Amino acid sequence: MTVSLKRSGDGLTRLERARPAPNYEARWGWSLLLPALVVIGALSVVPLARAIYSSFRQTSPLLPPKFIGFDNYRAVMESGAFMTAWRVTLQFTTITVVLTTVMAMISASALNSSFRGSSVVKPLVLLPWAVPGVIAGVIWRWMFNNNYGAINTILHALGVIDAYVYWLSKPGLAMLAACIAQTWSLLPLSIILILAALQNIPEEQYEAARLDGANSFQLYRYVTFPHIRTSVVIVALYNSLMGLTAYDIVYTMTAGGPGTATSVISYFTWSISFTNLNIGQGAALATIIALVSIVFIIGILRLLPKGALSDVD
Amino acid sequence: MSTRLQERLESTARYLWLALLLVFVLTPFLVTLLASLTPDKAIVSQPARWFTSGFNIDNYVYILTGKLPAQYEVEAGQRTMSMVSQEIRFLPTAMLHSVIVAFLVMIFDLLLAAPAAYALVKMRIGGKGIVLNFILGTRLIPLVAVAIPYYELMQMFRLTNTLTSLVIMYVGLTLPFVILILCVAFRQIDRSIEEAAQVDGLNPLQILVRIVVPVAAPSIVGAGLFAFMLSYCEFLFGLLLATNQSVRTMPVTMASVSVNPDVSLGLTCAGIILGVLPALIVIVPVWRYMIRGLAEGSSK
Amino acid sequence: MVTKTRLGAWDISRREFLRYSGLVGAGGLAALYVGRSPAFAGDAVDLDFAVWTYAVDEVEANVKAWQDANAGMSVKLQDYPWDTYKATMVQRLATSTPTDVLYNNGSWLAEFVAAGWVVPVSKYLDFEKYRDKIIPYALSGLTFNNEPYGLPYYADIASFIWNPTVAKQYGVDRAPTSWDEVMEMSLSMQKKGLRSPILWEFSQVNPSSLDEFIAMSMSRGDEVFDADMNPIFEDPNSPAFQQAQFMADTIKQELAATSPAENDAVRSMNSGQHVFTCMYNYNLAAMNNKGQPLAGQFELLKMPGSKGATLGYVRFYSITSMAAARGDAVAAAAGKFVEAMGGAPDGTFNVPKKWAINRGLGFGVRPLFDDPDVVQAFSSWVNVPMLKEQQELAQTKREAKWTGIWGDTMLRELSKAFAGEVSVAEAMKASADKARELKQQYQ
Repeated sequence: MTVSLKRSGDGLTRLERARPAPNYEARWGWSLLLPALVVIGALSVVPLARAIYSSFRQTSPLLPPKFIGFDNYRAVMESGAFMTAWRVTLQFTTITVVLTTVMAMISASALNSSFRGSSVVKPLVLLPWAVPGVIAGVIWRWMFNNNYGAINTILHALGVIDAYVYWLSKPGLAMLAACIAQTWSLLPLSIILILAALQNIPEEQYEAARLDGANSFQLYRYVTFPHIRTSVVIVALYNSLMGLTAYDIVYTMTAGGPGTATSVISYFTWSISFTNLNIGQGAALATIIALVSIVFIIGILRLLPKGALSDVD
Repeated sequence: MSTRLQERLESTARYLWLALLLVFVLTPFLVTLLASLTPDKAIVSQPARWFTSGFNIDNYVYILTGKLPAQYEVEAGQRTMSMVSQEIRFLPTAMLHSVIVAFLVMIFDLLLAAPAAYALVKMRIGGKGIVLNFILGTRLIPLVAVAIPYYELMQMFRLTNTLTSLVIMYVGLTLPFVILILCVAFRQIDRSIEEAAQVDGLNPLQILVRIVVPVAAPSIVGAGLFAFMLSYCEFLFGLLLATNQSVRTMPVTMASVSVNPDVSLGLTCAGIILGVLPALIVIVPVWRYMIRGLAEGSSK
Repeated sequence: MVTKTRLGAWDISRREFLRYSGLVGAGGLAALYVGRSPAFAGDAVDLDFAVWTYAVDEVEANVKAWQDANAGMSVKLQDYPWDTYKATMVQRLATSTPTDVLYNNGSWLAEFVAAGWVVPVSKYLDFEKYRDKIIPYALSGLTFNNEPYGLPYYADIASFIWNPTVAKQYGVDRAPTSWDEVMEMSLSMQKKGLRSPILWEFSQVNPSSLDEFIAMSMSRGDEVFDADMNPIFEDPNSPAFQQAQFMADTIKQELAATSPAENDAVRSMNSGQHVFTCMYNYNLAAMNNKGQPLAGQFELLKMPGSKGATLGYVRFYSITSMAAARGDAVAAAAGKFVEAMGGAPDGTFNVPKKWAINRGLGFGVRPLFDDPDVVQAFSSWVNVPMLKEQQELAQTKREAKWTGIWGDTMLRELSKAFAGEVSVAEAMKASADKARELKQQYQ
């Protein structure tokens, strides 16, 4: 806001004008924010509204379209597969979130110092992130293959196992394999987020604590953890979201089997919409999943300290 | 115990953990690479005879030039078929499509996200919490739910089976993350710099472009490359919206190849290695810019 | 002052906006959707041809040859990944995305006809001259309500395949002729050290596994639905129930392993760890493909089971109602195209013959069995007389517009039964209930 020689109509002094008025900030703020909001809104709210609309109608190419209220929701929730799929999904999500978050915290701490070769190791750890979920599923499916998989071959060659393990044919092992693959895929991003937070901790705080006689555990608990708390929560949040809604790794590896052992709920939105041609029910299920995700996420977000993201207000 | 011993133990523990981590992270890449260089008959047998048939780059040559791998040459009078699917030869083109889309998404993301993040972090506007929740909340929607409505939307604008529809959708998918990263990055910028600029009479957009962007450049580049990688690897919408050969992306092609019975395991693995190569190359700059940007903060 | 700044802000915003639009326009020129011109009689016709991704280079060559031979006709070929092909087609056809000719599948025909998406071909080409030449099961697969909906692209059967070389290593040197013998031989091979002599290609998301299950039921005597589309597999004495029980038992005793997809199964067979399997016939060609470790060892066997029947399926070229609606010129062109691809416009079934020789794809037309080139090409990987004999015993399964949806449930129930989560009886009951429910809902 330049001071001009023109007559100003508002009667403010130069100093007062130099300080931006709240109105000015608000207008500018919204102008800057609006394009992004419009894009995001148009690309999510519009299709979502349409999907929710479909969920209340009998929407299928094989049946006449009509409004049927909550019938789709009822049909979805009463189907035999529903509760089983939720149980499997929660199992899968919990295991992967815990595994990924803990591994990421330990790895970030280990990577948080410069040691010989650290500049090589750090990018290497990120490599799984470059692999799309489907391809990660293909790779890990081959690795866990019963007859010629890499894992069986290596373990057999090392003498750890006598007979090849039929990983994907046993329910417990199949779930384990799927969790391992999912963790592998999500680990890099989690490590990055926590590592960034770790590197922000001022060295003086460690010094001061050490001078006070703190040991390693106390250092971690009172100095390190408070600083990385936000990142850890974000990591848990992101991984939970992935566990609840992403099925490409799991299904590429196990096709949901054996039996229902790895049949996660998110797959069914695809199968109901496209195999059963019941788009209305698919939309209903997707809405249910979205609602559950929201509850989950709000719960996790409560663990965030206030003002974690914004500089002002 | 003495601090020296403690330090030694910690150091050893650290190296041990990192070694295990590297093994976990790298083994899939290494065995895939190995399979791509080995004839199938050495890989698909039990017990596997991995190192016994030598290595060759026939698979890669086939994908790039179409020259038949040696293992498929039929000798006269042999009672076998010789079939190799041409599908995987499409991979380089698919990669090009993915790169183009990812690059465009990156540009648009940054153009939209930088102002938005600046506004969210640095400006006094009402309802920030709600806005942020909204932005992040849109990612809670299961993508399959919006897939069909989005397809219909694209049909309305006659954009089905075009790269444009992919760019549009990917921007929507990645923008929240980019905004989030830039929020964290901008937050670290000292307010005093901006306040000085304000006194000098710059409007917020000018402050953003002339001062904040140069200072936060590493994070911005990092966030952009992040968006690049996410778009390069996206599968679901690529599958639904761009299935034509003229627009098919890399993940869709590789998914289709992976269930094709006329593509050998070695060939599939070669395709995988080639396909993820651009993303792997981008990782190093992402690492450098994003971590350093986010970690070092700024007050230059 | 304030006003000027505000204008300033909007100016920039407008500039930004224009810049964005320009970029979008420039960026979006990568591949633009081409508009379709209406066709006038005698004018150039452009057809949209949808296929799944299989040997697209050969399809392109065939299409180009037809275009060269028919001045003014152009075909826009679009291919889609096979495992999501049906979903993609449903989306395309439901939203009226321009499609004139497409690959169709006997399993979906009922659904597509019910939704009004495909039309009988007899109006657009002389079908009657082909009626006798098409192998019976293929003919029944492309017919619905007594109307033919296409000409075969390829037709094939589910085959019982075994590896006599590996079998001999474990003490079995003759072929099984009944399912009981398969069980006995597997047990004896297992005792001699072969962990799982049988391999089932099975997963709850793999429609081929349902076909293979039904094929094996047919070999025992009957399939899953009666002529009125009532489920007949709940009865423990029915062939389908017995087949499900057989498969569940073999898996439980670890006599059989499962492989979720056909390419995995082909490789697993080639690891030498299994002897018996049941898969679509073209996988036999893939197993005997040069480059595989055990290429040449695999053989076709007549289906065990008292009836020896198997399931046949046909994929064919269909004409869409959209093409018919575009006018006579387009519909006639579509008919000509379909005949060139699946028929014998000049007396020889050129395109099916190419598929047979180059790719080992089964053909749906009888005359090719007598063609020396075809016989010679096939002999390199399969016993042709045995194949011909098995083809004569093949039948298609009965379909209604809801059997696709039912299949999804059936596969899931079978999967649970095979995993031991439910008993075969419970699975069959749940699936039968669903079939009855769907029958009522959709009819």
